[in-house]
Amino acid sequence: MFILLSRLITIMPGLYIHIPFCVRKCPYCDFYSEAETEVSIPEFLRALRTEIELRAENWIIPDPAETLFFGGGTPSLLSANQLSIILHYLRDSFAIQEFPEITVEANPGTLSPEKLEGYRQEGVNRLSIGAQSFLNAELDFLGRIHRADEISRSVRAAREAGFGNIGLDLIFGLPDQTLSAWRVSVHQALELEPEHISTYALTWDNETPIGKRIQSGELPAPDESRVSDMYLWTSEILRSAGYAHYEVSNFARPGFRCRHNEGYWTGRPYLGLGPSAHSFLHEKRSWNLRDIREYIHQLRLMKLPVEGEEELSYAQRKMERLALLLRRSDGIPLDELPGNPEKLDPFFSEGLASIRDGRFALTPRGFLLADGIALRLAD
Amino acid sequence: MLVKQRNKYRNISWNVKTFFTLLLRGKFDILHAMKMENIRNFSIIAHIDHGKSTLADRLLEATHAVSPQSMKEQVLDSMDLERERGITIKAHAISMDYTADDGQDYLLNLIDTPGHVDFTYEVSRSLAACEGALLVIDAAQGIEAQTMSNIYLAMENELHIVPVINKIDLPSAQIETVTHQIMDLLGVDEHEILKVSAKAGLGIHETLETIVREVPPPRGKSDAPLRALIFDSVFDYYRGAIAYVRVVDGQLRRNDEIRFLSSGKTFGVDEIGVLRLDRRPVEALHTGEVGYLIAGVKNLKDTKVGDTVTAAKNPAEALPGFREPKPMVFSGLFPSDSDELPELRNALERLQLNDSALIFEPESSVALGFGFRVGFLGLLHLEIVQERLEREYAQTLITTIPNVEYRVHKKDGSVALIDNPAALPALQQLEKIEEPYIDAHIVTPAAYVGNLMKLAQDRRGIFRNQSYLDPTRVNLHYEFPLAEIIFDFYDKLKSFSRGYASLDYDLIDFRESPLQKLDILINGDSVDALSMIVHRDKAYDWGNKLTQKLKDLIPRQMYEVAIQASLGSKIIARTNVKALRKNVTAKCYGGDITRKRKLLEKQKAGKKRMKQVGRVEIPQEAFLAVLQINREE
Ligand SMILES: Nc1nc2c(ncn2[C@@H]2O[C@H](COP(=O)(O)OP(=O)(O)O)[C@@H](O)[C@H]2O)c(=O)[nH]1
Ligand code: SF4
Repeated sequence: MFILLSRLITIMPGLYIHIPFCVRKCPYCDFYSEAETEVSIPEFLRALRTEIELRAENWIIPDPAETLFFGGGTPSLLSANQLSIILHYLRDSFAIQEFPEITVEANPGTLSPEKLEGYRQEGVNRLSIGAQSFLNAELDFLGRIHRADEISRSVRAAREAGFGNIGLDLIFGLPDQTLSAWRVSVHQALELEPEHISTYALTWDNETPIGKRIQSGELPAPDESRVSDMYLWTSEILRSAGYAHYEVSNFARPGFRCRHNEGYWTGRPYLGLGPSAHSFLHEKRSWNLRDIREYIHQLRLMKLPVEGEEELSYAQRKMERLALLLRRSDGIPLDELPGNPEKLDPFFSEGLASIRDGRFALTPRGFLLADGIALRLAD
Repeated sequence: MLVKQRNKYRNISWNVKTFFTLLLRGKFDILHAMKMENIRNFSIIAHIDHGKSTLADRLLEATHAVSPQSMKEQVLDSMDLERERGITIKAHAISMDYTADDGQDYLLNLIDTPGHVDFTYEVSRSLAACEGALLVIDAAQGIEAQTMSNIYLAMENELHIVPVINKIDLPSAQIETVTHQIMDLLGVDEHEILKVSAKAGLGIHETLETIVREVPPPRGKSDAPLRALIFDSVFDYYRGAIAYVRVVDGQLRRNDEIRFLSSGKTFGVDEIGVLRLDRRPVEALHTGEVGYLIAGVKNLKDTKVGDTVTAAKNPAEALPGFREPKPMVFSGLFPSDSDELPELRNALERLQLNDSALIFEPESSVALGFGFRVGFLGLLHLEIVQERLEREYAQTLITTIPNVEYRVHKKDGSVALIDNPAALPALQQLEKIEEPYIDAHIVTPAAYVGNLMKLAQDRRGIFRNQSYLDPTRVNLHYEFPLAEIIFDFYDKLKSFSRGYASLDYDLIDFRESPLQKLDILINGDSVDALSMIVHRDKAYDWGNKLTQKLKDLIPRQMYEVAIQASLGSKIIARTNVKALRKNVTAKCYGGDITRKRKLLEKQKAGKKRMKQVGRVEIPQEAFLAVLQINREE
């Protein structure tokens, strides 16, 4: 009974809306987005509307949505008006809580004070700004469209527009990046006093231009040991600045964790809309087509633009839950850990994990090995 | 296995004529016994690839035992693995009817022999069932060491040897050189050497005529008590052990009570028969004949190769030359998942039904848990068994470092044979350790003698002598500790001689050597499954190479892994595997959990091939690391 009740309380779904447009494709990015497409935003919005309506007919959303997240791509390419249209579609079709968390991912090169004000008026209350770096040389390497000084300007404008919950995304572990270069970005970010900071290590085992250049040896691979040092240093500096290291790559001031993302890690249902968006509903994972034309085409035929889905076995579900919960500083209840408690000992003695409030939780050093530890524990 | 074999025969597309011919002959077998003077029992001695199978095919075709159309595959070696390795492991036999130029009908029994050093004893028993042998030499390759040793075996068994130079069609054929080699070796005249192309079908008639003319008929006493030689046996899940026999004296009849002399066990004969492409029952096998015997024998161990079958009521003396199969190489086989121990036992038991040389007993290792200590005839035999367990019985195995058997003398005067380094008594209790030695012949082109002598010296070889087979080929005679050649010696021999040198050996005796146990410590704990017994002078070298190899094979883990080699309490080599610092997906973006889970599942599949020893995960292949070590570097 208790468990059921807690389910009812915590399982508030999230809505994710994928905006698949970018000004220019960054060479490290493997999200789905299009930089030069003949598809216009209004055309996309028409298809999105159809998807929203079809979903509302076909899916039973368990409860009013608690979080809305506009990701991409570059959602900040949307005008305030376009954003407002989408929110209307959503409200028409889905139950949404009275005070939802509404996040928009924003590229500093696309923000104007007017746009920010408009967003704010539409009810957007969280801005996640893709700063990535405060060094222009690094921004060039990453192929970003913005300059370092645009970041602080964006943050200031957002504050003026009334945003009280701003997150900055940073990337580290570039080839040849030194710890001191990384420090510059972290310190500059801290000076802007965001409520939330995400720091992502550059992923290069993928098919992106930078990934391929590293794999082919054309660019040096980021040194694992140096990247790990940067990671641990970041954790320390941000924690001492008052941010909780609440997930592998995420830091927040008290009360400012990203509720939407927390849903992914805690097994909350979510509905993803737009090309390549993922959903998790009724213990089933599914994902949309990763092509905007195909997406529009399917919806013109009044078909759901779903590319694939999978029903998880019990074992898969458990494995997933373990791996996802371990990513959070809240960890996992001890009684949910499979197997012999003795096998935890090495993690404690190596300083990779600790027990807090009856939960097994990783330390920052443990976070660095979270996948390996999850596998160990799953045996 | 048997199922496979049967399927294979089913695949042969019979033509109608052959079918009826065989049917008629089958009748003939039942009704008439061939006169002893008209029987020829022979085998073919050849180095691998010199053309034994091809020649056998041609003989079978020429005597209509099979039709050319049906000869898509060579008939004699039929096990998949053998085919892949090009080695005939298990001997079989087949009978052919031949009307010779003298107008008489002959029964030719071709007895196949296995072709690898690991199986010398089996070869000798097959040869003992014959009166003659075709010695097939590749015209482009000449005589090889293994062939020589089989020639010696044939001579010991007083076989008439018919020399055949095969592949005379090859442009690279050196007929004259090979002719002289053979003349020197066998002391025969040039005209006695057949020149054949099995591929082109040249000289086949001549070969059959020579067999009839030169190979003596069987010489047994038909009125003496029964003595039949088992030259091979196989296991059939429905019929039990099937022994392939050659009747030396007397007669073997259906319903006879027989006795196997080595075990003394008696059985009633259910079925006897002759061997065509399949088994063909007859009422009796007479003196000199070759066939099979089924007597409700449940265990292949009761039909040992080389054993004598005699009448239970009127037993005769054993035929000479019987030997219990003797494993020379021992290794631990462990299920990678300890829950699968019963399956592994079951698989080994079933394999044993078909392979009487395979022995095993339970073993327990601190590192690997429960498994089996398995004895093999040689490293090739080990590989075959390992492969069959994995392929046919779907076992995932951890195989430990192979070793020979040591004779260990303790201070208290006791002597024990030890086939597992982990079982070696403590140093203080040891008086001395003796190791098996072999007598080895290496045949090589003269140009590589220098290389090979250096290799032999590295492997603690004791030089006996060297002799020239012809102006370009040398026979090097050495004695070696068996332990020095079981791993990679054969490969080294080949690479030091560009593939030309060949090797043959026989066990001679045990000799005392300064041997020590080399232990491997992982994070300070000795891992028993990695221990090995090494010569004192080589301990440091082994220690270094083994720890380095392990370092390459053990993936980085969450903590540093220290790898050490020790002799007693003394650490002689150390290295470590640095800790893995980072293993985490940076971002689980936009709820794409599927991708992350797939990555984890992939990593997990990789872990399946790991064995957890203490806190360290060791990949299965690390337990055989020693086989990957290049000692000559
Ligand atoms: N040119 C030529 N090749 C032959 C002859 N006899 C056999 N071979 C080839 O030599 C290889 C080995 O022959 P095989 O009968 O399998 O040898 P085995 O290992 O002794 O049984 C095969 O590729 C045959 O086709 C021959 O007379 N002439
Ligand atoms: S702006 Fe963001 S979504 Fe667009 S290409 Fe760059 S990293 Fe990818």
